[in-house]
Amino acid sequence: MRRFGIILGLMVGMAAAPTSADEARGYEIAAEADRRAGGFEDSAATLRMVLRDGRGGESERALRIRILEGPDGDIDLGNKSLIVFDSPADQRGTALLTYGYKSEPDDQWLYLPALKRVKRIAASNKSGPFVGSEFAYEDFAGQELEKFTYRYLRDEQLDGIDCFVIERIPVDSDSGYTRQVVWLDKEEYRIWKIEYYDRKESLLKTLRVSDYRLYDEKHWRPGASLMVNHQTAKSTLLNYTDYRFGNGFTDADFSRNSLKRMR
Amino acid sequence: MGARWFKLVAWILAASMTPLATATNFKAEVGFEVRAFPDQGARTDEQLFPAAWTELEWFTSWNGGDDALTLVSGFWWDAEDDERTHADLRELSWLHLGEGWELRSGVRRVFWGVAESQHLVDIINQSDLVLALDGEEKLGQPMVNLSVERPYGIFDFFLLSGFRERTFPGVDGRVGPPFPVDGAEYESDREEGHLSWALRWTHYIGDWNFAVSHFSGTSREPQLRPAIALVGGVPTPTESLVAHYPTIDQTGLEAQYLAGGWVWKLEAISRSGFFTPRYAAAVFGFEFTQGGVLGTRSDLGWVVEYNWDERGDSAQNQVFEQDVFVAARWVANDLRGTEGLLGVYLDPETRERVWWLEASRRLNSDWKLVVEGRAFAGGHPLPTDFARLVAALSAPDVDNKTGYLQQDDFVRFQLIRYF
Repeated sequence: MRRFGIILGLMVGMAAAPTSADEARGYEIAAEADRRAGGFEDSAATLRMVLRDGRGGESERALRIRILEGPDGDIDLGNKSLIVFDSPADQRGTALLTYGYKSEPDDQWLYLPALKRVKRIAASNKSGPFVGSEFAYEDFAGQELEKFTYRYLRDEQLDGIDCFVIERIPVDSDSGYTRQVVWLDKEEYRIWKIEYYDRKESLLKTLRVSDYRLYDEKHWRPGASLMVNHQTAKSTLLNYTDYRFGNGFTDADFSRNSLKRMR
Repeated sequence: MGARWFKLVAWILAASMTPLATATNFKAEVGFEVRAFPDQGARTDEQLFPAAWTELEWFTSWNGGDDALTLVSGFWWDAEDDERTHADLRELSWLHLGEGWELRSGVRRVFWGVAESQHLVDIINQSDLVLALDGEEKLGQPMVNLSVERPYGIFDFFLLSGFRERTFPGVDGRVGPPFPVDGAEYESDREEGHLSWALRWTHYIGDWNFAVSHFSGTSREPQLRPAIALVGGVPTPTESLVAHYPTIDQTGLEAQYLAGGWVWKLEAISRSGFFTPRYAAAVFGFEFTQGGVLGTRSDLGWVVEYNWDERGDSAQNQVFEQDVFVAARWVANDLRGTEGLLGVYLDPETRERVWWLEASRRLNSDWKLVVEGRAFAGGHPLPTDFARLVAALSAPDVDNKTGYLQQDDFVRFQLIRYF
């Protein structure tokens, strides 16, 4: 898979005409970041979202997320995730189950508690807003290494932190982005900033990630991330609390039946 | 004595659960609504129907989530309609989670199906028709349900005891059949005590989702017939209807295929025992969704479905025997969760139309406003004269199945507070 990624990177690279060394290096950095972010087996966290419409309007969402890491080294299976909404109150109990894949669109099911209905939904509208926020579905899930091709751009300091700056290009033509520019620190390969460029090649959004903490002495996780949409002045702040690792989750906790059990 | 007994039970419950409890939560909603009818009805002149309701949900789990109790109950009050004023235990169930299986026992609600215009395959629960014409409000059904999840799909086995009669508006209520429904008759000698059962297998392969199900037992759908009373020894129709519930067998198929922004849907049933020889019915169509229409962040979806019933005109209380459903669904993706759906059912042969509007928006994090509208066109109101009305009910006009609804256009405003 790694070799395939490099070859794909090379092919795209020939059209864009940068040196292949930059692509190999970009991929190496992304792969190292992916390797360091992995190995957690499973995790759970509580999220609070604050949505601002740029005109003083504000709305909050509270949700819980569980993630089961995909089998190590599998060429296709990615992470499974389950998101449950606690607020807004009319959406309480709504749950979203995602099976991530490395080389094809994810499978997604939505549970609507009022009707007791489990609905398979199309993951193709990945560029659409996630629960009215400035995060698209694809910003949330689908961060598998294989979903992008990469290019190293430069070294740069960001807020006094030494960073690699790389560019990543979504492989899927359904993506809402032509490219993303990502800042990762050289020490721990954590993402601090992402710029998203839309289909017209103009800067659409910027994500700033902050308040990283080390859990169980091996997992770096952010405490907050802020997505600002430059074209609409809307923003969404995401606060993460209550990270838990080693929950002992299994596939049964991410089954279609489990969607109906979530509270 | 009563208080002491209650305390003891409460103590035992608390003692047995607290040490292992992983989660307990409580939620509630209170709603207020007004239904406004531009026309006077066939049965009542009343045009404004204020109502209110409350729904409570309590949930607790223990054994690390392997056991859970859910209680959902509701109470609805209607200023005009005594039949609409009712309480129901929607759920009181115990869930036990095993290795790859779940046992769910008690009163529950279960939904089957993929289509939007009609819930053809859905059969486990009875419709609480006084609350919603579309059958999306369901009465709680007592059951034991074993659900087994395997790599090749989910298998559900149901034993359903204690039949629930469909609810209908009362003599002062709207929207309902021309006469109030009073009483039920069953094909089974055991009446509402007849035990029903059902099975369902559901699976997905790639972008395909499908389910095959079978139900055997008391039909949830009744046939309504004029009630007959003996007047001076002569059988005479009265101003009420009796619901007849036969024992049926129904095999169902659900299929859904995802292709980009397209979702293709099919529901089909084959049913025997429902007054006619075995027959088939289906609803099929698609939903196409465009994200970010016209440079906005809104989604626009188109739903087109065709409803078909093999019995055709003789499908007496099946309104959707040859009907096209077309609807546009708009989702704003804004802070307030604003969305709306405008649709129409059209019978191409009789030109009968049923317009369907649903829209909702949060006012803040706890309050929500829902607006619904229904309009019926293309049919003819039923005669008001008693003898002719009874004749019309005894031999329904197949080209005027929505006749009794023609004066019942309405708009409904709901204000809901969540706790």
